[in-house]
Amino acid sequence: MFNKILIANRGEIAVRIIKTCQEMDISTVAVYSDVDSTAPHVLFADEAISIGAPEPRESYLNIEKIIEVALENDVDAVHPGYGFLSENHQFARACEKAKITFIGPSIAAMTMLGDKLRSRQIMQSVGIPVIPGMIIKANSENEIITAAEKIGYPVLLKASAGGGGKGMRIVEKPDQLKPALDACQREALAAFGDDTVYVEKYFRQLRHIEFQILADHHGNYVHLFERECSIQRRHQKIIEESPSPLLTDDLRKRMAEAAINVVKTAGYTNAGTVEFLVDQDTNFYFLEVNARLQVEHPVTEFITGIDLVRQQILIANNERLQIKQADIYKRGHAIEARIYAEDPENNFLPSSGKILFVEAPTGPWIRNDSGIRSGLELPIYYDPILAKLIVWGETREIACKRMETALKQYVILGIKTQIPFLRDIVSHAEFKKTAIDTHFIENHFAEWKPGYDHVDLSLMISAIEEDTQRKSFSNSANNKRATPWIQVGRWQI
Amino acid sequence: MVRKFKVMDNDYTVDIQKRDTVYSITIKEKKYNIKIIYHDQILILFKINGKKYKSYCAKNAHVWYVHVDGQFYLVHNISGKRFGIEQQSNIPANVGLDVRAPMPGKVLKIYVQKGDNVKIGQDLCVIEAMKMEHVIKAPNDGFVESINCSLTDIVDAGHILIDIKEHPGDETT
Repeated sequence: MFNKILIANRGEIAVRIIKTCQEMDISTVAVYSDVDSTAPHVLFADEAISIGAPEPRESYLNIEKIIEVALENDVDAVHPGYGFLSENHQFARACEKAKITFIGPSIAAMTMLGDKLRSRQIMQSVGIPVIPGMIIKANSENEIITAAEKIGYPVLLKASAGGGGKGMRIVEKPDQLKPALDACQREALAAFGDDTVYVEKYFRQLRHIEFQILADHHGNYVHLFERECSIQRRHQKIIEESPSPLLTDDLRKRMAEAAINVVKTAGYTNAGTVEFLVDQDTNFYFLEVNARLQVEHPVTEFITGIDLVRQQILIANNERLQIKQADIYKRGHAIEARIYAEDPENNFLPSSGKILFVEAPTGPWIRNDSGIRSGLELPIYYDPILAKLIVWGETREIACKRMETALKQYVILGIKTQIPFLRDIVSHAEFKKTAIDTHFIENHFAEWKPGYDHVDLSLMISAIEEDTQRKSFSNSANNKRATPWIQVGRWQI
Repeated sequence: MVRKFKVMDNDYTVDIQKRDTVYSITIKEKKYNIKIIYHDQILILFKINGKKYKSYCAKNAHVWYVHVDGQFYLVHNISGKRFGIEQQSNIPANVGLDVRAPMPGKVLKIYVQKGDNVKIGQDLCVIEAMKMEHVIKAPNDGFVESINCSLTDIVDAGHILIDIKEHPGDETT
């Protein structure tokens, strides 16, 4: 087994990986940028090494520097977490060259799956459904018109180089195609300098459902069921759950088979996630493979009882999967809510500053994966995820109520978070009825505002605090030994 | 004692009197009697009309961050100068035609130059924080009097990025 693992990441995921390493008696090396020197992942790890300036490319994306630290500290393996270098084949190659195990898939599988278009073509060729048209690259107007007719309306025009909704047009009828195509190409050229456009089938209602896979280096594959990730805001998942309320046993079985088929075709090893889109008629389509540990992996851990990070480490150490498919059961229902440093009242702008106080909820079947602590100055350079709250319940209804209650008890003072927004989602009638799709937030929360029923209470509390503070000052004036800074306690400038 | 606070852009005058562990507080002619059960650095437990409440609160500069019954409040103390600490608002506000950073972040792009004429809604610059870009737009028609930031600068919330002046005579139209 590995003696020492370097975690090439920060925040809640680095902390989460360190915890499993500690349980496996593997010592840990954290790396940190200049603004993260007292971040929780630095405090938890056995060793912590500074790797440079806060800008990600100077630190958490600095392959050369991270390899150098790994070599200097006799590290056996590197866990990349999610984001940053986790799906970077150059980093995996650099690890290989330095004879350090990269805890993740092979370079070949990573490279192949990294090319989204090519991987879809390959998957389609082995009979895995992909969204009709998704792999057609049409260069001329005539080709697009032909493709649209073949796919059937409505279709979606998409900038090939695109992202973030730019250069995207929904076309309902053939006579709308030409003007939409012109506009789409103009936008694509302006935004990305490339007017190549795709055409694919448009679905009014889609759900995002993914399957967790484990694969060892000895040809063994298992799936750990699905995660429903349809609750998204600006294409960012915010609430995930498992099992998906949509799947019947039959559909689950067919999708799981397809997911295993995808990883086999790619020669994929380690933990990976096969993402599918599911339409209103429960047809499913392969989207892509996330070749890493997912943010939302804890919901799978909760319903299966399997530690995914431990499995990743065992697989990377060339061990055989000890779990057989027949031994993997799902039990009850798990939900995750991602807590972001965003101001829900101000268009979800990132919020930063000093975290004055944190108290996370505890209790039966409540898990808090956190990358923050009281007193931490929140840097502006990284993803705004602060923590993930995961709950389990014997039924979905109980899990929803448990999440709602736990979110109500989650206290973060000093910065703004979207906790009230998350709470209103899990207590929404449509969410409880499982009427969810990828448009849920825009359909039900476009005009959302937090409830403010206790303005008077907040004023009273502040007035009492001010009063207490004033008394502390006058007391300290009468006491020569005490400085105002000791007496005043919570006063901060 | 009378204190002034601002919550969500509304001003409140709060009158507070204390007798032993009981506060009597009046807000907008509504009177409350608050019995303190426990009070420490962060936590405050109290009762109003027999109902128990638990609240967490902490202060940064002049702002109280209050959590009560699952809701979060930012209560700005606007009582004025006290204890020699300058009363200063860090709420980003468009005072006049200053263009301020709505959040702390890095200046990613600046689209205008000193002296440029700008139209209301025109893109002026881009601030990036936590991998999100935010486009700052002109609040009014006018011209760029000065630019108070450079590319890659890290700015605080409320920092005046760009000064826009109205063209002379615009106010009367």
